[in-house]
Amino acid sequence: MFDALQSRSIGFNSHIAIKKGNHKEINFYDEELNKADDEKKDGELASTSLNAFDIISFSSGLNLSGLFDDSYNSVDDGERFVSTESPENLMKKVEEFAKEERLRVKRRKELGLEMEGQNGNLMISVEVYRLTDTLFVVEAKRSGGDAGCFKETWKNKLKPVIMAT
Amino acid sequence: MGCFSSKVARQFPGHEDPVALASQTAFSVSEVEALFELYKSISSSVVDDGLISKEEFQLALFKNRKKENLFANRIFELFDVKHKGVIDFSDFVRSLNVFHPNASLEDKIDFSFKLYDLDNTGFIERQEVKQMLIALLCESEMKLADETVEIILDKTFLDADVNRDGKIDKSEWENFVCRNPSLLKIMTLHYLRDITTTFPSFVFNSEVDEIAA
Repeated sequence: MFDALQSRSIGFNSHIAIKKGNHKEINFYDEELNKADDEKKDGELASTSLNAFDIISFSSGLNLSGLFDDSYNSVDDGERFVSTESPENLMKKVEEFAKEERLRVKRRKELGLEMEGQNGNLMISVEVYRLTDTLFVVEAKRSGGDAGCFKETWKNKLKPVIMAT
Repeated sequence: MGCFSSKVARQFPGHEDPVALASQTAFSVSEVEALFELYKSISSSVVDDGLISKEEFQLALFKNRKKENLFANRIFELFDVKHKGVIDFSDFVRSLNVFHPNASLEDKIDFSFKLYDLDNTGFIERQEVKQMLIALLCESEMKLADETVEIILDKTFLDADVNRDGKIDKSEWENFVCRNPSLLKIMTLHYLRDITTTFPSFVFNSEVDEIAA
């Protein structure tokens, strides 16, 4: 299973879990569903937008990870907010941020990227979804690394950059 | 059955033989035993009665026993198969089974439909979707104008409510989900593939050995 994971590029919804009572890290991937997701989003950007159930799926109450992973805390692990800025502008800001902070961009797609820095302690994935003709949802998630690192970098550095008009 | 089984049955009401549970779910016997380790920890966290209460569920999920959430409530209600207000071990295993990566698409579609059918009418009504959408907006940093909420609802129903009766029935939901497979992402927990390593159950606890002896 791990060989297959290494040869495949990392999906955006990868999740690093610190297991209870054990310090080994494991990656979990939504293999097939992630692929379907990417295909839908990249192929039909103009017509695809989030529907009510996509938004409802964001709820922390529908994420049962906390049952299995003591260190998982959905509040600290990511955030979503609405923006009126064009996704291209949003992505540009994120790319510039990565450059300034000397973060390595691990994966890029049209409206999303995953970056890593501080020797692997910081891992952030950012994705932009269309909501309506004028509104977009920006989603920032901790895709690995240290939770404290993510929280600090997101709140104090990246979020203000993205939200600045 | 050895004395271990009757001791467990007394301490954990609703505890079912792991071999029986394994045969009726996607879990192996050792995976059921691993789930039992997890269950023991969750069910004793507030009151040590061998059952998972709503508070204990909230504590496990949010690390906060007082945190109320519409969707977590729905999950709890669906896990509480016998409607007793608590989740027993058999409920726990059978419900988590639906979230197994190998569980059938049909079971996942079925569970998700029931999840969103808040008042159990057999339909997901527009008002229910609106209620859930607003609940989500309250828990997140996302702010939307009322008008935008209506636009999103309109779009969703245009797509899902094929017979235009203002509600989504089971077959419309199946159809909708097949066209939007990412909606079922919440119905799969990859943690379940690795459960025996995350929650090791030591051999001398194993009921399987009792039966073999």
